[in-house]
This record gives sequence, structure tokens and C-alpha cells, in this order.
Amino acid sequence: MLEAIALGKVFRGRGGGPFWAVREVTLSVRKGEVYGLIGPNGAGKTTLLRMIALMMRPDEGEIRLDGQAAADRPDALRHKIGFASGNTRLYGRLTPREILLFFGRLYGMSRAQIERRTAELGETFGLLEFLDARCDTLSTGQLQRVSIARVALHDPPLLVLDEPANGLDVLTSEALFQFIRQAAERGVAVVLSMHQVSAVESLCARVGLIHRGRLVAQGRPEEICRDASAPDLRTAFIRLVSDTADAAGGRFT
Amino acid sequence: MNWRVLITLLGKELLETVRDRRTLFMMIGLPVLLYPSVLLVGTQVAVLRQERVEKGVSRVHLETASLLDLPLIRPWLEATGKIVVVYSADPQRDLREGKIDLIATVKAPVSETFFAGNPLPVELLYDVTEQRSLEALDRMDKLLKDVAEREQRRRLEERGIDPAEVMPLMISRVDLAGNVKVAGAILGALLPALLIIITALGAFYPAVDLTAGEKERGTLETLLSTPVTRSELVTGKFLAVFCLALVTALVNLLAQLGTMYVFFGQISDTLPGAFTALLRNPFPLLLVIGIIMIPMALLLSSLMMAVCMFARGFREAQTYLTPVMLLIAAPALIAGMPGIRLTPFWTFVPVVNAVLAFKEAMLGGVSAQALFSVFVSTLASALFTIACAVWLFHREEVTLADEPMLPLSLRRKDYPPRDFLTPSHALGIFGLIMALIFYAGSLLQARWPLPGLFVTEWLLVLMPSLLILWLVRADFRSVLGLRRCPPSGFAAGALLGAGTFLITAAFGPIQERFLPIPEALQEAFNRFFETDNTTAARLWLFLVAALSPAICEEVLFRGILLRGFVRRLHPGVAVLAVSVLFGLFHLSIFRFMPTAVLGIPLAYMCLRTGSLFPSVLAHALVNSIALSLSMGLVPDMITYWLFPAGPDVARVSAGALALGVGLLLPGIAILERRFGGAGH
Repeated sequence: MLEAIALGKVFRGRGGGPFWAVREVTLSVRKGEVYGLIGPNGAGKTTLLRMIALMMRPDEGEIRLDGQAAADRPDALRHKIGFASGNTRLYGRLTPREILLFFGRLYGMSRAQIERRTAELGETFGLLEFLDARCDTLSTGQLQRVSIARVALHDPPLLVLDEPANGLDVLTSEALFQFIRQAAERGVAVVLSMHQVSAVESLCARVGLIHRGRLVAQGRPEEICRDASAPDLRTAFIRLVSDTADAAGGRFT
Repeated sequence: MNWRVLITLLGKELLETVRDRRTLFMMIGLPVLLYPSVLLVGTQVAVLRQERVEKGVSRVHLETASLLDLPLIRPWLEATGKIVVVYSADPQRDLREGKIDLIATVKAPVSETFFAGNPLPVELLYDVTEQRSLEALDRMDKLLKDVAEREQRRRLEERGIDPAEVMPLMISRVDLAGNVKVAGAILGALLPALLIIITALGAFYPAVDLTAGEKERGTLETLLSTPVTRSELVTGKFLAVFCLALVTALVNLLAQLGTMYVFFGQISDTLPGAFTALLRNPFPLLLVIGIIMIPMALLLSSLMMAVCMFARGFREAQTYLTPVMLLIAAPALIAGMPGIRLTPFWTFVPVVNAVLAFKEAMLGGVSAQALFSVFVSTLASALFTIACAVWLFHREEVTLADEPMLPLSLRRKDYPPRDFLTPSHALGIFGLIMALIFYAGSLLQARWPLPGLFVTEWLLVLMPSLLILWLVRADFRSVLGLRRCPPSGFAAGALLGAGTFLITAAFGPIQERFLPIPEALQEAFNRFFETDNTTAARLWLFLVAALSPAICEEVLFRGILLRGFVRRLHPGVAVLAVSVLFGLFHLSIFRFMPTAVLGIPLAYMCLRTGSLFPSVLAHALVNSIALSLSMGLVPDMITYWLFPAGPDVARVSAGALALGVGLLLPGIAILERRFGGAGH
């Protein structure tokens, strides 16, 4: 479904010189597979996910969706993607129903389709009681649920979720994980990043560990643990990240 | 471009705006409330005052009562009651304090002059700042003229002369302007400018809200993740801003018209039917407004949106838009002034052309050809800014930028150390310093010219700049470009500086044609730099007028502003923007052109060498050359070879111009050859 080949993204650094936020990242996600990205803050996860969601052009490498090169027609290919992150917020002055209607139209859905999906997703994520309340009156958890509903609205074959569990309580995160598992069962490919390593371990078939813009380990959770000779993914994460920090001269910033 | 998507985007933007009370109030609430209150209250107060003056009694102090003995006076005073004779112990003080309105003094005894067939000198003392005093003067003057005319006629008849024989001229005045034109002239000065400013204000909040506001609220990224293309996104947003600006303009126009109807209905007998004549058939005017306002609203909305895209938040966007508002308002107001007509040249200057076309229409008609030219040129500039906005929206560093904003704090520890400033930081510092110069610097310089300039440069320009940099913990070296520069950089700087000086001088005659410097201003400027012929006095002058500006102004302009701008803007745009600000900094429309032009090579050498020092040298050099020339320190032979008409008249010889180019080109060559690959 998704192939990312040797992706790289360069920004202008603080001092004016080039700064590679992501470099030489290659990964692929099959239909029905959940791929988890973990890494410390500032490792390049958000930049990588923005490129995968075709919102940012890579400076190196290429992305293919279902075998199609994304660089040719990124706008059209975004049809196949649902993207949510901490930065994709909702319009405070609109209601969830209006927001779903608006985004549904942007995805080219008909009014009847949107209404049907709104009812379905409202049921799944428990939105029905606040569908007609302005978003600036909703709680963080409620907003996050609306966000997930927005992403799932057009039933995309690829979900890209940057920290989807942020701000969710235990029950709502569980509902989210349930939704992700069900989506994967239906054949949806999912790429997500998460700070809760334990959740990633239980949810994802494969995991990529990103540090300073590079993938330092990739594979099934148990493979990564074995290679790092760690009892669990959490320990492997800490070990791998400090290893590369030492290799880079012991500076860990 | 997908129409369905555009309409969806437009609908969402409008729905959001309608739900925002702040924008809604600015668009509709404010004009509906503002015009009636300002126009009705303001003009009614003025009319009332005028009426009180006209109906009021003038209090006149007579130095000698003999004035009352003249014919006509007593009966007139008794009949009209408009002038009462009062007595004052200190009439001049009472007049100044407004206790009396006029003093009439007879300079010779009446019996020996008026009644003896000689002229009687009468002096009327009044206060020009007092409406009542002017009215008293007017009444007394008319009364005395009647007396004089009657006496003249009597004396002529006494000698058997027909009064008509001694009247060499008979003058009568007839005003042909007509009511409509008078009304047009008065309204024409203000209304077009007001309408454009208000349309700009109407675009202001939506432009901020739909771009920087979306970014700040974090909803822009949500939009960017959808299949909507960037061009569709900008177009949808732009259409929304445009609609809102037009609605604001329309609401304002209706509020203006409505207020005037009510207003003229109330006091139609006090004011002539002039205004009502225009209001009775406003449709031709409305048609012109419609034709001009549509491309104008397109231009203003796209311009404001393009500017707002650089901002990451509401506050920052407002900071950016404030100078844009000034840039729109100033030419609009100036073009509104009487006497400026729509010449072919002005047809192509945006904003000015619209104001002028609108004004002509009010003054009795604008030709279809001129209207068409204005429409096309405004539309062309609108399309250009729309293209800029679309281009900007395709740039990730503009749409997905997430540099944090500076906290607004006076505690140094609230700021993380930084080695760069953004354009908004730089503009903030510039604004603060401009305010200091305007309020404190110009006063100081008016009172103590040279010491005032010295204090302005060091304490109002340099010190606050450095203080702010220190407060926000900016790294002085990189923020100002304090890097070592090889001698070739300095040499190139000196060549460029001297060359540009001569070339700008060559533009003197052009400026002389379009914008001649008033003589009084030139004299004041020359007097400013007058000095004793002692070495000490001359050194002081060079320190104040050559070295100080070179150091202090370079730190602000080619340091803070240029390095800040270049982080976000294309280097060429940054150089031009800093140079325009440098021109504005001199607070004189006559010095704008030469100083702004000088700013370009200064900024260019800074970017090429990566160092501030060459431009400090070049700036000091240019000021020193100008000073030496005006002080006569350069041998006359050279001075008159360069400036055949003398150093005060900026008219350079062909040789001097060639010399200027001859200095400039090697300067550029050195910079390009030695520093071109440095990546600046």
C-alpha cells in the first residue's frame, strides 16, 4: 500500500546551515498492517508523517501509494489518506456535524453519503450527544474523538495518525485502539506515532524507531527486542536511543 | 480548479466569520453606529456653534466714544442690536481672553478729520483664532465701509462730481461652480479615500482570521491534509475575504448615504441644497463606485492575505498589516486633496487611481476611457498579488512554519537565547525607534540641531536597538552581521558608496521636476549644518552628521532589519524593503528617494560580504562627501567639475555621472567575484 524510499527533508537550521530533519528513511506498510513509529521528541516523526501524508514534499527519495508515485499528483492521492495529528485541530466556531459535512465535501462525498457516515461514526465514537454543539465548547477528549471521526469519514485505505492518543482518557484510548484494529482487519493500512511504547507494542505488527531523523531499528517488536537484547520494547527503545547518542559523540539533546 | 470545492470552502469561511462576533461587529456594527454618531453629532455641534456666532451679539470696546458720532452708526446699532458697545479697563487682555470680541480705535479727533473732509484712520483689533472675533470684525468692517461709501458719495456730490466718474472699475463676482460641483469638491476630498480605507479595513480582519488565524488555531494543517489543492485553498479563502471586504464597503456606503439623508433632511435650510443635489441622483456615482470598487476590493483582499500568510498568529499578522494599512491610507488621503487630477500617469498607480477616478466622477464625470484604464490597471495589480498569494501558499515554510513567537515580556529570563530575529521582531524594533524619533528626536533637533541629532542617533536609535537585542538574548554577532570582512569588502563598499552618491545626485533634476524641495526647507536644512570655521567645530560636525549615523543607522537597518527580513524573504525583496524603510526613516518626503536609493547598495554589500562593517564605512563616506561639498572643504575646481551649478543645486555633470558609474561597476565586480559564491 505505502512505500517510502530513502526519504529526506532538509530545513534551514538555527545557525543558517542545513539541518536534516529526516534522512534516508525507507519503510513500507502493507494493506491491513499497523506500523508504529517511536522516537524521542524532535526525532523527525512529525516531519516523516507529514511527508507520508503528502502534505510536505520530500527533498530526497520518493513515496509510492499503491504503486503510484506521489510526487506526480499529491493532491489527488491525498484522497486515499486520512491524516490526524496534534496540529490538525477543528474549527471552534463550527459544530462537529458541520465539520464532517465540510470535510466530506472536500473529499468529494455526496450529502447523503456524509449524513450516513456521520450517523455511523457518531455511534462508534459516541459523538451523538454533542454533534450540534460548537467545537469551542467541547472537551479535549471529545474533540479528539471528532478528529478521528473526521479522518475516518471518507474511509481511506491509508490512515496516518500522529500521536492520536494524546489527551485521551483510558476508556477513549481503548475505543481508539479498537477502531484501529478493526480498520486494519478491514484491510486499511495504518501508520501511527505514539509515545506510549507499550500501546505500540500491543497494537502494531511492525515498529520503526526513529532518532535524529534516521530509522535506527525497524521490524516486528520482538525482533527489535531480540536485536537490542532487551526484555521489552521500552527497554530496547531507551537502549537504542542512548547507543546512537553515544556514537554521535555522547551529546544527547 | 473544482467549483464544488471552492463553494464549499467559501461557505465554510463565511459561516465561520458570521459566527465571529468581533469580525461581524467591525464589518457591520461599527459603520452602522459610527457614521450617525460622528456625522450627526459632529456636524450638529459645528452648525450650532456657527449659528450661535451668527446670531450672537458682538461685544466691541471703543477707545473713544467719538466713533459713535459718525453718521449711520448709532441708528444701525440700535436697529440690529448685533453690536453692543462695552467698556473694558484692559481691552487687549480682555480680547485675548475672549471677554470682548473687538477693539475699535480712532487715531485722530473726528472733528478734525471726518467732519473736516479728511480721512479718519480707524484701527480694528481682533483675534483670528476666535470665531466670534472674526464675526465682530466682519460686522464692524461692513458697517464702517457703508459709512465711508456714504460719506464719499456726499463729498463728491458736494463738489458736483458724479460718483460714477471716479469709479475706474466696477467688479462683480459670479460663482459658476454650481451646487453639485461644490458638494462634489467637499465630498470628493474625503469620501473616496474613506471608502477605500474602509474596504481595506473590511478585508483586514477576515484576511488575518482566515490565514494567520487558521494557522494559530491549528486548523490550517487539517485543511492541508485534504485532497484540496493549494490553489483551490487560496482561491476559496481569497473569495471569502473579497466578499467580506465588499460587504463591508457596501454596508459602509449605505450607512454613509443613509446618515446623509437623515442629516440633510434635518438641516436642509441651514446648508445649501448642494449635497442633496448629489444625493438625489446618486446612481451614476454608485455605478462608478461599483466599477472601481470590485477590482479594488480584489487588490486589497489579495494584498492583505499575501502579507498575512507570513504571520504565524493573529497578533503577528496585525503587526504586519498595520504598515500596509498606512501604505493604502496615505496615498488615498493625499490623492483626495483638491487639485490633483487623474492624469495618464496616475491611472497606473493603484489606490491613487481609484481615488482620483472616484473624485472626478463626483466633480461631474469621468471619461469612459479613464474609467476603463483604472479598472484594467487595478485588476492587473490584483491578479499579480493573487498570483503572489497562491505562490506563497505553495511554500511549505510559509504554510507549515512553526517557529514559536516571542513572549511579550520584560523579564530577560523569559527569552531563550537566539541567534536570529524574524521580520516581525525586526519590524517591532523599527516601529519603536520610529516612535522615539518622531516624538523625542524631532523635538530635540528643533531645539538644539547638532547635539539633538547626536543624541537621536546614539540614544534613540542605537541604544534602544541594542537594549532590545540584549533583552531578548539575541546573539549580537549573528543578528547584526558583526563578522570580520577582508579589505576587498571594504574597498568594494567604498567604491559602491561613492559611486551611488554621484549617481543619486544625477537624479536631482528629476526629483526637482516632480517634487521640488521648497526653498524654506532647503534653507533650514543648510542652516542645520552651518558651523564655525574652526577645526574643532568641523570635527564635531563630521562626528555628528557623518560618523554617528553611519554606525547607529547601519546597526538598525543593515543589521537588525536586513538580517531579520532575509530569514523570511527573498534577498532582493529584503534589500528593497529595508531600503524603503530607510527612506521613510528620514521623515521627509523630499529626502525619501535619495536615501532609499542609497539604502540599496548598502544592503547589497552587507548581504554579499555577510558583514555589517563595509556598509558602515560606505555610509560614513557618503555623508562625509556630502558634508565636505556643502562646507566648501573640497577644492572649487573639483566641486564645480562635479556640480556645474554649485554644490547646493543637485545637477551633476556628465563627467561626474560617468565617474559614478566607473566607481560603482568595479565595486559590484569585486563583490560578485570575491563574495558571490559565499551563499548569502
